[in-house]
Amino acid sequence: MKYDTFLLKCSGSATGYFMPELQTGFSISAKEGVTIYSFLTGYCGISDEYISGKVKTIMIDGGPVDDIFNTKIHDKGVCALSGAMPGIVGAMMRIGSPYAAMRESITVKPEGGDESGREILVDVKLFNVILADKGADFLKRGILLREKRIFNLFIKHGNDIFSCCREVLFNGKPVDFKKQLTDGVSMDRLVMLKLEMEDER
Amino acid sequence: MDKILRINMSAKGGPALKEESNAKYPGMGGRALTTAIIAGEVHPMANPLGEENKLVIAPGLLSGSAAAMSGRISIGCKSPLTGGIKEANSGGQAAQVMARLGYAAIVLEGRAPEGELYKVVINKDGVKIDKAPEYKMLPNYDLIEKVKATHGDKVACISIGPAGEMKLGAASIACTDMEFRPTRHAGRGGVGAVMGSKGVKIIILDDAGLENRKPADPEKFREANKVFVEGLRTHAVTGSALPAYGTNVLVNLINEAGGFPTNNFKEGRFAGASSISGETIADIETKRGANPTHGCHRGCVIRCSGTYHDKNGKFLSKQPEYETVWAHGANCGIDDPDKIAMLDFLDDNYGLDTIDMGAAIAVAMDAGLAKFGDGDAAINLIKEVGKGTPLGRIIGSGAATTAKVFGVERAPVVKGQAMPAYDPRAIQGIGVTYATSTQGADHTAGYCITANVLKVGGFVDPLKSEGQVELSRNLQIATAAIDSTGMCLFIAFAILDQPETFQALIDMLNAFYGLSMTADDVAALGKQILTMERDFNKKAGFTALDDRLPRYFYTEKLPPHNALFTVTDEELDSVYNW
Ligand code: SF4
Repeated sequence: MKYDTFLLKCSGSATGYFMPELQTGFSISAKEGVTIYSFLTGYCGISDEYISGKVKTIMIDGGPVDDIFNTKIHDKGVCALSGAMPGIVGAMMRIGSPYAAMRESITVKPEGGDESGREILVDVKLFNVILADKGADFLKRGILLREKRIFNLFIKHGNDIFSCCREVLFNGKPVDFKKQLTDGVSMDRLVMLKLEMEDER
Repeated sequence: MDKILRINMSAKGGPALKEESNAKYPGMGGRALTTAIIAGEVHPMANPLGEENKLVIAPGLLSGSAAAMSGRISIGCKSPLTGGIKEANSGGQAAQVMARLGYAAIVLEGRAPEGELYKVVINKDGVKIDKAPEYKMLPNYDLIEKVKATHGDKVACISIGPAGEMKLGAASIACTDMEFRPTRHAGRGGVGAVMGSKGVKIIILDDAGLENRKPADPEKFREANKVFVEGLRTHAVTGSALPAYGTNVLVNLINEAGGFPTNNFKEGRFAGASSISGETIADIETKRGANPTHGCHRGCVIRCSGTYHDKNGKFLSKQPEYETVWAHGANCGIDDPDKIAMLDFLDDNYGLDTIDMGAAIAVAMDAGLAKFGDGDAAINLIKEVGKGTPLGRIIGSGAATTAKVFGVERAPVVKGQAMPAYDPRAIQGIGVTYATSTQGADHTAGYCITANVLKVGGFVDPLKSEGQVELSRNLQIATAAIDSTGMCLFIAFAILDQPETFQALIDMLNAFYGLSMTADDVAALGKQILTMERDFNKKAGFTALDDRLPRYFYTEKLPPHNALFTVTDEELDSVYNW
């Protein structure tokens, strides 16, 4: 499916304002039947090396996963990614943790799922080092958010974000975001948000 | 570090000092020593605030040396909150300075006459104890300012605030940090009330003119310390996650797991989690010119602590820890980091345990005294404690008392002590530790060092699912042992994954004391400590029925997983079978 797209041409410092949204969650479109591993490498652009080196906890719908190669992702599922975390509970949540028995009741086990290949939407949440390392990459590739959330973000941080942005394009055409803000919004549809960092070009 | 200083506060004619060798407690430091003294010298049925109880302050075995991370201090007594044995520990400068002064322990005994308050000053020339009426009811920050004027800011202090003087069940003992602020606390179990009952407001430790403690084998010690530090620096948790975000980095993860107790343990997820996460708070700190990466004592290489500034860029409090952000945040429905930092400051200033205070305020909210999410109301409730009003004294006595007084069924406590920031219905294994710990509901009692490395209770095959009872047992044993070294428990994360880092710790102990300990000896020490603690609690009247979670954890489902605590009584009763 094609989504209407907001493109912000901005400096790298603008990414900071989007970090809370990346923690709260955004959508990525994928194909039904895909495993967690394939979702991360194929649809999120995260390398195999990074996954094995830094992604230490993956949760699906709030349950830690131990087998990312056989556990499938489903439509409207929530996939949270975290680096190595402190504490006994942090250790318990890790992929393949020796303490897995202590969180057995919420562990997500591999099971067969629909493999229709139809488009599904997965909510992704980035935490801690994964947020710091990969947040900007996700913003560059584009994330799907309810339009209302984008506008709320601009209501909260509009002046700061605009001061880092040279141009805002909607489907390739310049748009007066400030004017739209004053008109009020209640849009529940998903749109693509992309950042083009000018200091990196 | 071969002396024990005993101060008898009941002696005729005023406090009497006695110094003795620690020959009776050979090779013991930190929790091992506090537990051995309490278990051996305090009657288990003693009133915790009475003359018979003792307050034991003991740095760890490696404190005062050049060993990295060795600045934790243990404070033990019979707890007025749980009625059982207690060890609460703290960071800050006190452990290092006290160890350099040569003391394995300071033991406060007896009880000063009602209304008398003392300060103890220890330096290389000796110990002085004087009446200190000028310090009466001073909050910790004001107290430390006064001390700065008379002793400078190079000393280290161990003090109580008004909560300790009022002998409240949630009163903590503060230790000053590297900037001479009273930000590090031995928080749990009401240890501050016991210090208050002894009539000691502050212990001022001055190591001017003294050097680091010297190892028996300096060469081996230096080499082991190097390997140890290298292990901490390269590990993902101790080298990266903790320094960048502090302990509060756990908020997002535990919230996502549905185990982040919200609105007095009614839900497992908090809608405002991302506003109070470690990532967000570190960002606020950086923008306001505060420091998100900071050590609580010299020699810490992990540096999980930090400073938090207000909107005007002025110091407000230390960076609130995960437990504080949860207790005063999600558990009270508060998602404003500035309000949480203010609550943290007030707790430190009045000398209160942030976990029991957050839990008590949430109980009060359940009772209708304030609305969940109302940060200002929470601040006012803590101020009531500082003022010593009847309401404040109830709340300052902790969550269990607050629930009783206001008739609230949902009191998240075990053995009278409030649970920390993990809901045991979502994360069942932690519930085993809450239920069976000798300390009351306590997360650090189950903090981890790998069972594989220590090989306590057999090797745990990472590919096989071991029982949570066995794991909880192993973790409790290992934690008791680490608490005796003076090492910050956060080293455990590096040790979990890197056996060579654990070996370096043992090598350091061996090189320092000229020993040849093995991992088995460390495990045996952990078991010995737990056995002493367990025996004391039994004699104090604890039975298997005290090793249970409150009933509602078995009957009230916790969203989003709709989980109940399902570990059986038989399983809980088998934790101490060894
Ligand atoms: S890691 Fe944190 S708690 Fe431990 S010693 Fe360092 S600053 Fe203190």
